[in-house]
Amino acid sequence: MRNSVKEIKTKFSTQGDFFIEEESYDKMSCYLIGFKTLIDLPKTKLYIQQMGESCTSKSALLGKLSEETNVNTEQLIKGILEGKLVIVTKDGKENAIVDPIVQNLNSSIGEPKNESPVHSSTDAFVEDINTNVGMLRKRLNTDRLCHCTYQVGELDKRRLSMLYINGKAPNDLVNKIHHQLNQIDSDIETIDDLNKRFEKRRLSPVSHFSATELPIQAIHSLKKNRIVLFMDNYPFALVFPNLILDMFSTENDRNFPFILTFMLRFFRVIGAVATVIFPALYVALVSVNPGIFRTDLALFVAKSREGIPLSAFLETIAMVVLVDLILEAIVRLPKSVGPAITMVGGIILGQAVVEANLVSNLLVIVITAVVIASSAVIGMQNSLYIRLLKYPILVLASLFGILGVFIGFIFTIIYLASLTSDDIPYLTLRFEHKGDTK
Amino acid sequence: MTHRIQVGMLFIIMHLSFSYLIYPDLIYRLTKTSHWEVILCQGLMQLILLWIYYKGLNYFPDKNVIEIYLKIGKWAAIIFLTPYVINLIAIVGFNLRLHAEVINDVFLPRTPYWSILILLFFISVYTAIKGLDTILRSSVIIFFIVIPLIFFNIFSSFTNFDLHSVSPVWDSPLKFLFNIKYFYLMGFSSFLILGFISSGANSNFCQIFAVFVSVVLFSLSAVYIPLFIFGQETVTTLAYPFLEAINSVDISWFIFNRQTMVFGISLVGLVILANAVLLWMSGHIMQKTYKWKTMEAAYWIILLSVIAFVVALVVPHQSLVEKFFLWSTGAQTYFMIIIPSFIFLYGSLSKGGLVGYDKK
Amino acid sequence: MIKSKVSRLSIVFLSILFLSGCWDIKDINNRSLPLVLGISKENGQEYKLTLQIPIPKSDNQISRTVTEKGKTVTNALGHIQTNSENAIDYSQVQLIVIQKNLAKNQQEFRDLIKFLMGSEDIPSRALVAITDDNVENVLSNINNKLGVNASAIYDYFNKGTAWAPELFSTPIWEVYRSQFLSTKDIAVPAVRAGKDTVLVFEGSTILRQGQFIETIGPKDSQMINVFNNKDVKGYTENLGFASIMVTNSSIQSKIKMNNNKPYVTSDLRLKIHILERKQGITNKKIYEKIERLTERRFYNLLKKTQHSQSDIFGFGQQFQHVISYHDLKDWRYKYYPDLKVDFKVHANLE
Repeated sequence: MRNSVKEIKTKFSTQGDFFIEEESYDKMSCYLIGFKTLIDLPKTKLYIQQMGESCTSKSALLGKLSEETNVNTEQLIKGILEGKLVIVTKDGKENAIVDPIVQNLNSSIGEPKNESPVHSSTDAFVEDINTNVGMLRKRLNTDRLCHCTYQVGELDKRRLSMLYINGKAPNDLVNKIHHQLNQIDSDIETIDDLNKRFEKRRLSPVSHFSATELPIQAIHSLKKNRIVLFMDNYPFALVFPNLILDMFSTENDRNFPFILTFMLRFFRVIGAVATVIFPALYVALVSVNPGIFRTDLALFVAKSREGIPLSAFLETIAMVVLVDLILEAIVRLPKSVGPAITMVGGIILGQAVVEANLVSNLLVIVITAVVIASSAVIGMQNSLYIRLLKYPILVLASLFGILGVFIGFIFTIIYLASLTSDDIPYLTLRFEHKGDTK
Repeated sequence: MTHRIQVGMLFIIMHLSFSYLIYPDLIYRLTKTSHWEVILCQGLMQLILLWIYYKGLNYFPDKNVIEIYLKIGKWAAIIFLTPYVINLIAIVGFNLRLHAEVINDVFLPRTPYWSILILLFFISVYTAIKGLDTILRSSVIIFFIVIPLIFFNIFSSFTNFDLHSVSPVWDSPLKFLFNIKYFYLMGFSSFLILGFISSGANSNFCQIFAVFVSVVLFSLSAVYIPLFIFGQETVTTLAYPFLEAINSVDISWFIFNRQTMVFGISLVGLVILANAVLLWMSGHIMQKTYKWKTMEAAYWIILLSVIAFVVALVVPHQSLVEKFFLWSTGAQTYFMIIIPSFIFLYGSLSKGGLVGYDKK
Repeated sequence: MIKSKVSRLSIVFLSILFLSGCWDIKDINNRSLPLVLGISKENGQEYKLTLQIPIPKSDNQISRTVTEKGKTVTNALGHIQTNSENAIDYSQVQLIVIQKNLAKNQQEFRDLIKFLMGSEDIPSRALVAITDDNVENVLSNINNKLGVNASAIYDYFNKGTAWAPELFSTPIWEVYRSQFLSTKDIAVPAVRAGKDTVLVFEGSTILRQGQFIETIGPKDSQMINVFNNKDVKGYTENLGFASIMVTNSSIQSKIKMNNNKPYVTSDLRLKIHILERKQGITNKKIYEKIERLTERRFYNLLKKTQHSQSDIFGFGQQFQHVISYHDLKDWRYKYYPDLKVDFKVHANLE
């Protein structure tokens, strides 16, 4: 059995942070094996020593330290990779996989970075999957909360968790997802990798999941019969299925009186529609159907565009792309430089472009309104895909005017209506399929 | 429950899509004084057919029309449904062509109509390929966009009403019943769709009745708005009375000048959805009846829509389109009588249908 | 596999889509938006079209006029399209000024209105006015006035009835409709170029099925508004010894047939407000005076129109229930001249 230590040694010989330390306690001498980067060694040693003082024999100590004793080499290697401490006695006859005192690699529970809830508790999910599930359990004290875990992937076994409330989430859906998750045979690195495992949606901007950072929102989704997935080392809860209402409503709104909730949601809908339609409407009204304006308005618009060399479509697409670039640039830049770009991009560029008579000042107003409106919807990915949807409508509008705007809008609606995730349509307003308690 | 609401909305949308262009014109040509008689008479007769259809379908729970015909035999499906598909294709073609020209007038007077025709066809075919569920779901949203616009049109047109333009007197001899145009008029409905949605027949007849009444009310408004604004003599001289009626409205506080745009937008929404349904129906029939080498319904829809497009494109001028459109609605009337009564008879002859069905 | 084929097909369709539809694209600053269209006839031969087009760029001149001649209206419009610097977009035409000499020929006028109604570009809501003046003068008059903007002529007709009760407007579709109505005729406002203001209101011209009958003054036009139940609030009347303002009016008519002759009883209730009066004039006297004045004005107008067989008040509309549809077609000639109206005015203080 000594050769197991050797085998492990050769296996990890290329790893710089791998250690084999010989240690002798009063009752035994043994090898401690593991990764320095994952294990807090001094503390762990102290811990083993303390445990050893109260034990009488070797095997009693090992049994006390761990439940996995005397396993084969493969399991030892696996244990090392998972960040466990492996103890092998010097004679190699006995071994154990011990849960060590770990190096703290996870960020502590902090405030949400991507969402900023008003009037709400401000803790957010963290990298560690167990902490995340724990956060949910703490808030949802029921035995009906079910938790299934999976380890998937080829190279790296990634841990996935599926949570649902028994009796709320539809059973067939749970079974289906269970099946789909078990079938995963390649590595899951991003949400998109996971997305591809579900119903095929090539070229679709709409994901099967809506990601949320807030435990409250995740719990709300669970209560609303949905399923929540967690990926290890990913500080978001993935709510399945993603529905269009996630874009407009969050549970937080309900901390206000109903009428204010309604107002907030109504504004979000307006924001989404305005983002999609406004640039297109500008092009349609200015270059194809000016007849629709009232006379005073038509003359005003004509005056504001006087002397502008670009066609309405060109100036609009240029400005829309520019604004989307600015938005992206702000995200990329470090926080200290971001405001500077906002200044340069937003104020100076906008001013210069109007003063140079390249773009009509009416368009600048429209574009600004669109940027603000597109940020009103909930969730970054929703905001992004809304911003994407405006381009096809813009192109249609430049060809067919108002007709193009409306046909583009209808086309978008039909497209969204055609989306389903596991036979649940994206446009479902209320997810009411109740499962039975097993 | 939600499914029923969706079907109801789709039903209203499909009927509305028929009732704004040719429909008022046809009624003005049928009678000069009491137009409501014609509308109610047409509504009543359609309702009777609908009731027969409903009863007939009830003999075969969870079966749609195609399955019922296939149960009788493949020959029956081919004999009865193939002409119906041809009829549907004709209706789709001429309907889209008609609407394309009107939309052309409203939005883009200098653009040739075929480009708009392509646009409408593209969207309709896309929707049809996506299947019935998509159609039903999008119909809810389009319903909530289009119906407020239509109401806006109706209420804004009140400003131009001259109540004396219409005489409500009872015109007793129902001469119009024997006019061939009345036969065409009967075809301005698409309740046959209910038999192709498997759950369509499951709904309560009371609900169907309520939906049908609202459809009749919309038809009344479509006929009476131009009448109240222009009067019978003027209305017959106009190509599209409803369009002109909406065009005459001038609301000074509204930022936009042309009410017709609002009308045009609602028309686009209606026509896309209605034709998508018709295309889906025909593709569905063809796929189930002729099971050629597992040819997908999508291919049938594309094939049939290309035929419809060519048909729509080759008709040289508008009056001919109108004439052909009327012929195809007349043919639709024929199917509206044949299919329901056939299913009803077959259902009642096979001892309540259920027995016959179980044996098979 | 299937999906990819469908998407390939859709790509083909989309590219066709983008190839089509390029005909209506023209930025608004490259379009000329005429607001007023003047139509007249030169030497009884050629149509002359005048457009008033606002100029957004310049500050000195607010608009310009473009004139072109042609054998037909379409012909002249075509000439304008060819010769103008920008694309001309008629969708903002708000007013159509027609010279009276053209309007005298019934058939030509009917054709003209039919053309305007049928035209896709010119909105059928555009108002119609008749002028005795030279159309060009009316349209270019706007440039000599200080402080008016390009849409002044249109604004002139859209002051709102509460602000200018005597003025009224008639859109194209009403003129078009009146050509087919057998029971109602309409009045079209008559204007001319003013000295200080852009336009001067001269009264109205009665049209009977596209034929000009006669011109009546603003006070008589007011009578027509009263009978059409239009708001006449703010209308003032000078009675010599007092002046009053009408604050509210309502009219109630009852109809019946006497020996196959139509008979109408109309009661007009006027709520008035006395603006000024000479000393010693009682309310009663003012009431009597206003009642007598209004009744006399009405009977004069009725006699005039009965003579010319044009039912300007639309009495025939009210007989829809009594006289059959076919008989009503001859209303103007058979019934209207025999119409007896018992018109009573009841004035009252508010």
